[in-house]
Amino acid sequence: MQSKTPRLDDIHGIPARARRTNPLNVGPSERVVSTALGGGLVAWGVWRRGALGLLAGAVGGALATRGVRGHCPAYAAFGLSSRKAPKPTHMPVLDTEKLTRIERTVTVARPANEVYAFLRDPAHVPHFAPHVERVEDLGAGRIRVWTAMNGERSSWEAHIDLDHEAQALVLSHAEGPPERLAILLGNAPGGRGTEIRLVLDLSKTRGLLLRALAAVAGEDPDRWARAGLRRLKMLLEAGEIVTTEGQPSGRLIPVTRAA
Amino acid sequence: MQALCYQGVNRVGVETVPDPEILGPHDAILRVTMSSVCGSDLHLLDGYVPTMRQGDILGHEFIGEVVEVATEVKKLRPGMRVVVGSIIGCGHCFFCQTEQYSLCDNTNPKPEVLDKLFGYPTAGIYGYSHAFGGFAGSHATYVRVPFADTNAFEVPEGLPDERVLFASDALPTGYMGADLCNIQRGDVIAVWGCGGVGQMAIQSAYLLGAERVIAIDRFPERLAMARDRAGAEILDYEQVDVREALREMTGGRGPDACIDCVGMEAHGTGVDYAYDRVKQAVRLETDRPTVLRQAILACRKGGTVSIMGVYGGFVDKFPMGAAMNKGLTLKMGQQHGQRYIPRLLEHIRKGELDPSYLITHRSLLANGQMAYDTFKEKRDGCMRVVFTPEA
Repeated sequence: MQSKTPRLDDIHGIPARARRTNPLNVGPSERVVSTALGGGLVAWGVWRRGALGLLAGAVGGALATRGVRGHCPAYAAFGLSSRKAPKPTHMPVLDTEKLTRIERTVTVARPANEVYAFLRDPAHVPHFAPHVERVEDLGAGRIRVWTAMNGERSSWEAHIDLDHEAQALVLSHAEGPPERLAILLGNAPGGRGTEIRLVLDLSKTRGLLLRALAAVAGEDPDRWARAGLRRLKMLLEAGEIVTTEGQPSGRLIPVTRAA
Repeated sequence: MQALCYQGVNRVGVETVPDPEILGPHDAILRVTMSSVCGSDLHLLDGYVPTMRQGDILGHEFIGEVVEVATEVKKLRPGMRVVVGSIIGCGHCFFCQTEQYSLCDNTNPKPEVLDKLFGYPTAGIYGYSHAFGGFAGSHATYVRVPFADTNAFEVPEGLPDERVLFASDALPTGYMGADLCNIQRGDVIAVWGCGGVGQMAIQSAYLLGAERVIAIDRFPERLAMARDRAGAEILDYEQVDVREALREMTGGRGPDACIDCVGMEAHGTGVDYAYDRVKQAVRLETDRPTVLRQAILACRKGGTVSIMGVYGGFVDKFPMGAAMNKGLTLKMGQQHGQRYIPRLLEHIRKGELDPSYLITHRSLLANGQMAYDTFKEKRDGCMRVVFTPEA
């Protein structure tokens, strides 16, 4: 059964399939025709040979490609689409070509309005978001997030967009590359609570950088996304984040000194 | 405090460690009055579970007295005597709400290992390796109990520790094994393994309406206990061909349900046993499913095989064809103790169940190595050794 979670493209006109950079703009029947026609042309080109054959092959190849992929660069250039899907509405210029997307979902046995109310309060964020120390509310839909990683402290400013109706929350970087973090809520079927979807769009460069870091330190955005959602679920369902830090064992106790 | 710690393969020792502290708002600290060894500890000690770390405190089956509760604990008060289910539930997730506590989403703080190995992580367990959360175990003076209101149950007045201790693990595990069989009038149940869980499964099967229970083992004193204490008919698999015997004893039908109370380190007599022994020794398979194979072949058509013995990884030569074509129902799982403990305490209070006969030996923590050796080798008729931790 189709999940009721709003897809990101329902809200912001960006195809939600992870890492798809070219939005669909060719309708399903046109795709079939385009693929068949293109394939026919390629076949004819192979049989005909010569300059004309080559031309037919090239045109046929392009038609087939656009049919198979469902994306037509010519349509895109003129802002056209033969797809019945809602026309992509404008999103504050986000060049998806330069973004790496990470998506993770978790189901929490709490009603969506409760989850939304919890997430709306920036003061709750450090309790579950990995490496986030503090979130400062600057007013007028802006916040400053203070993070600490391996002793390195840094902070960044972000815009917060709240969509009360869709119960979605979008954080976008106020400076630097157009990165953003969206949290989308939907009802799980059969009254099983709320599906919380985290969508992280990172610039390709930062994506690569973080993946390199992942290889060295075992830390990467996907891991943070999963850990963050797991902790959020524990907080919302069980009222605490379960831990074994600080329990006794027969091992030596490492000394930690304040930095 | 004193605690019995894992020190290496088949090596345990008492160490002086810090007392446990309240770490979460739903925690309670217990002074442990009794803590039992368990067959599943042997899998950890034998080194088949790779996420044990030197210094981990062992033990998951215990009873004690509440000494301290955190701010959000509502039901428990210091001074209460409680028995605690060995598997930790949060009480609020989908699985806890549907009484499948051992599948709890929220009590394993280190879910990565099981997430990879099992597809989804399962609940945390005391003293049961870091894959299951790495919680400090109960072979200690004190133990921390997370989500105490969900996991600790007050012991009815007048019942001694001996009778209630096994309501922590062996009894609910055996009871669940029988419960999963969906026992109908006239059913004959076969139980493999006459250790603590097997003994409890036999008694539970009778409580749930079984006509006859047939118990299978090879240790004479365990078989005698199954016969005299639990009322089972007994089979020594070293003396008889188990499948032939079960077929004849059930009028050619086969047992209606089979309960595996043995698990991944089963012992057997056939060629397949030698094969598994070798493969497990060189780590080509993690679990020896000798009992499971036999149960599937012995079970009547359309019957139920209930698996309570612990498996941790992969098995070979699983008779899937028999299971499929005979239309068997396979049911299994770590025990959902919190679902069963209240009704089991009621059975104990009424005198319908008395698991205290499982205790054949007592020990101080200081003699932990000897206790585990005796238990493992089943020396001196050992069924269960129970620690009474010293202060």
